[in-house]
Amino acid sequence: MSSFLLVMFAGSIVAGVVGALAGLGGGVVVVPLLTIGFGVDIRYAIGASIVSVIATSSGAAAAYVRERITNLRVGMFLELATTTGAICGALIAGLVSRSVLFVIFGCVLIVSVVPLLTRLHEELPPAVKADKLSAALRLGGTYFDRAIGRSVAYQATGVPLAFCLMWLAGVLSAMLGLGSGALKVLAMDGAMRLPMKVSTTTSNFMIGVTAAASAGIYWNRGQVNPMIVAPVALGVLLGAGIGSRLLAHLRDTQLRRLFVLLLMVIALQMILRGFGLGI
Amino acid sequence: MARVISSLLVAGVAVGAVFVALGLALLYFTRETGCGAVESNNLLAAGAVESCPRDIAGVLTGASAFKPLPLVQLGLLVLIATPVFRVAASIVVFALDRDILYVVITAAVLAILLVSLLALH
Repeated sequence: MSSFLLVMFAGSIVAGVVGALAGLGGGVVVVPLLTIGFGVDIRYAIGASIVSVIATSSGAAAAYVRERITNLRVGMFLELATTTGAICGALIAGLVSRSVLFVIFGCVLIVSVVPLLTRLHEELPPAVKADKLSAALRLGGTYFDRAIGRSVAYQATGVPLAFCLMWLAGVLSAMLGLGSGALKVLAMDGAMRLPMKVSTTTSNFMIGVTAAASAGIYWNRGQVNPMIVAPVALGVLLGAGIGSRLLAHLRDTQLRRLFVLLLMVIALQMILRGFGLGI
Repeated sequence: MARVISSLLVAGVAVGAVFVALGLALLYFTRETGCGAVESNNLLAAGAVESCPRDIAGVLTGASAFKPLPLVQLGLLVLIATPVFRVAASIVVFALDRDILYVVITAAVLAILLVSLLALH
């Protein structure tokens, strides 16, 4: 038992580091690690990942909220969509077969990884005019951008589309044990045209709430196994902390791309597993 | 105000992680789960989960007796509850700002969360 716990813990630290370095969070590596690496039933792996995601995202979100870059109103409003989606996703996961989960996981992973290989633009979007819904909900805001040394005022648009994308992000989060940060950022950056820093920090803020919405359902189904979740959650938390420190030093190097490519390989393995092939 | 939410998040993760770590340490050193024997081939399956209490009362009873897995479960519950407390705190923040619209929106999110969690029996 002891070696089992240690190996799980060590493996989860690695998962946390890799996830943080690739910019996707521990969830994407934890589930493949547990299923393909340790032979854990995918439903228990997802249960473990969901709890880990809550821990890591809450820790990360704390820092950004303090710096006042996170847009609390955007986050709260969109959480209506993500939490509803999460409940749907958790229920769907209980109905589909394990193979289906493997295949969907792999596909979603590939889709999340591709935009990371082409750098997302960091410049501020040109001035956006608030649409009616955005104005009524007062979704615009300002933040102080340290990189350019001044305050940035912004508005939001494309709210209905973002709402739908967030619902989908919630479904996928709950079904696969991911944070779906990539999809959330896509919705806020692409659909709502928010500045990148606001999108990423607000996404972090929302991930924990979305995961909590599905956690209760997994707990009830007995899919949060303390023997597995304990070393995994602690390991990922530790690994993500280490990984995000390292990230500051690994800005634009090839190493980061290497990790992303590693995730592609993992994604393919998951799909193969779903079809009954692979290791 | 943002600082309150931030501190709440960190506190929740810290408290939860401490309980989990404590339970894990006890599990590692005493080789007891505190809720049923665990065969080695049972580890990756449902064994531990089926015999351990999942309801809040059961978890609290086991945890206060320093039983390893119930302690872990208490920590996990605290972790899961952290975002919920964060949402509740946000209601207060918006109320203090006299932002009725967002008090309502946030209360709706809290309601959705509680619906999902009240499945915790």
